[in-house]
Amino acid sequence: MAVYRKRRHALLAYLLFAPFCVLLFVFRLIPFVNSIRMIFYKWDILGTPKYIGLGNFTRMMSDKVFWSSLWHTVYFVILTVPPIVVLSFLIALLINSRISFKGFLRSAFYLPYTLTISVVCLTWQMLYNPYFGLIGRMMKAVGLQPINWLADPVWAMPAIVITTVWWTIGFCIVLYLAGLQQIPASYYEAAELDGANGFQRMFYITIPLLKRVHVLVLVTQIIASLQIFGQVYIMTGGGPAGRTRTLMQYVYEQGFRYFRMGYAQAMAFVLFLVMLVFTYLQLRLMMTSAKEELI
Amino acid sequence: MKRLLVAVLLLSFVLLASAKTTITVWTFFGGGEGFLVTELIKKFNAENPDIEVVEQIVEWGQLYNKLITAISAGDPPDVSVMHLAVLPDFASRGALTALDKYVSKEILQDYVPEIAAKAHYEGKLYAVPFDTHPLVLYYNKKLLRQAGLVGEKGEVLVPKTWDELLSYAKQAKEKLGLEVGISSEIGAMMGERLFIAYYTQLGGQIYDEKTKTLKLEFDKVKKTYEFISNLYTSGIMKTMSYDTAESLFQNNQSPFHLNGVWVMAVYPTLKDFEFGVTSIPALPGSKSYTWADSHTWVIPKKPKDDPAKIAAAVKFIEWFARNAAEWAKAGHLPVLKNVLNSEAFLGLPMRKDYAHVANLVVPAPSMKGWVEVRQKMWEIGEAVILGNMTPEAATKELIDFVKQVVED
Repeated sequence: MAVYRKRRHALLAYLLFAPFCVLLFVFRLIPFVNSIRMIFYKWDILGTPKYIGLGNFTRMMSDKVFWSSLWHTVYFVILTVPPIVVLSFLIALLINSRISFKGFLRSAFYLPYTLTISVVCLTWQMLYNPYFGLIGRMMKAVGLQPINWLADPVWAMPAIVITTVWWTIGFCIVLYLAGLQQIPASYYEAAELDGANGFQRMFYITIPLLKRVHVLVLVTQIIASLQIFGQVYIMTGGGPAGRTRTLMQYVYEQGFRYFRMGYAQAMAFVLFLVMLVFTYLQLRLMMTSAKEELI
Repeated sequence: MKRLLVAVLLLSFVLLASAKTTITVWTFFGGGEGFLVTELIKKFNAENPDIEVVEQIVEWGQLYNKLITAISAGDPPDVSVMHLAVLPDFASRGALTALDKYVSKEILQDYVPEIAAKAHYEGKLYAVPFDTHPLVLYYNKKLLRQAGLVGEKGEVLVPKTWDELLSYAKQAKEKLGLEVGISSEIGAMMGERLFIAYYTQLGGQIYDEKTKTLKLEFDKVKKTYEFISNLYTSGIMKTMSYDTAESLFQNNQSPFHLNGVWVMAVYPTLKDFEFGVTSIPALPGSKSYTWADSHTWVIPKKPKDDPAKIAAAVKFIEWFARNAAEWAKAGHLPVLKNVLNSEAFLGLPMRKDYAHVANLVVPAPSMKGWVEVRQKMWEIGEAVILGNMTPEAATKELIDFVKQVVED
């Protein structure tokens, strides 16, 4: 009887699961396999694909713009991820502490995350405008020469980074807050009884116990930042002089503007491999921290 | 009896409905331009009960992606808007229906010749253009008067040569303590539009009929880059985005402004804004040739031609071109000579000041890969302006890139 019921449960589970599997198969797996095939072809969407072996990859090797776009992507990750991890942790600590206007802080930092990318980018574009923007006027007011943020080859990428951090940090704060609230208060009480000071409580309780959150935030942010597209596309269009063009934008340009589908796919595949490495790292790190917790 | 009547009525409705040819049209116009298109389509539908044109607005940045995927999926719209500069990329891939045997002979003869030529690809007609939008020069009358740039009769001085423009701009900038003497966007406006204009004025031919590709003469390209670079090193211009350049000009903070004619949909409506518009200056010995692009209608290729739909589509796009005086309210210039010379068009604000530019236009070359080349031009232009590339290196880079695109 019990076995029968179990089987029926399993059947129900598979049934409920089936639509998802079908959709996953049709809209993810089939296109994925097709796209892998496409990296060996030259295809302009309309004509018939022409097999060129590893031609797309040899093209990539000698394509200066591919390398500069790859570097800009990595540069963006380097500039974005550390401040997001550190700031979101600090802000979460602040919100989690015994201060009075928590609710306000929580919404103030989370609200930007609910905005659409175009709203965020247009707002910051206005702020950055050296002639009419708030930042420029403030700089002028204190006697500084305003920076032409988005048109300056040095400042354009940092300007996009600031916008991105402001926009996405709310999500990471929520993750950290959830982690912080899972740490039992008794740990801190015991530590206090043992005479541990604030510094020790931070470095021996809070930070180690949040290891899984650190890994989660770090890796998801790296993966998200590797795919940066919208902010650049809207705010600078990859300029000035191509200094903010990232790999995703180059993939888009090659595929949909110049109709080199195979080449775009091959470059997207490289990005996919990079992200796969980071996902693997995340899984490994998560596993080890899970094992540690079991011990 | 009553029943029969109802049945007959119903039947006749069905027949009427089926006699009506419905054609879908993709456009990407928004704002003032969008209203004008929608109004014109309404008018066409009212005048032609046998045809119903249904407009579908696609976001401007997405239209060409969507169009190529729709064509490849075998389900494109019956008509789509398309820039003349993009036409070769589509025509060369067999994505468009050749129109030679469908359009009226007399409509083609009436076109501004430069535009009619570019509506063809490898000898076949693929598009019916309905406007041209050249790069022109705007000037702020109030600022020029304040800077003392007035003639004997008290009229503001309008620069006719580049030297005049530069000296006027410098004088106004210094006298009035302004940020810039000329405001304009750094990317497309400098790297492609002003480039083509100046290069042509130097006597350069941008398109080579024989090789069917871009023709870039090293010395003239280099001179053009030197000229553009000087605009910035002299402090007359500063790097800025399109919106900033427009805001500076609209807010009386820039005496001169280089932009397309499309802003004429807005400028005449602004309060306390005294401006003028004219052709861009000319080099001594040259006419004031200028860059221009055009909006055109095309008929995307379908797996199977439907002659009734094509006929209806052609009727619509010809009607639209002939009624372009209404469309010209958006600032664009008509491309049919009889519309260009019509009172309906010349009666619009200031159109007399720049209508003649229609005959001085240099459209993009009819080459496959132009969209890619021009993106490179914007970037090289920016690099030159920012001082990251010498005019000589920029010239080499551009010529090499064109070669690479042509060979690809």
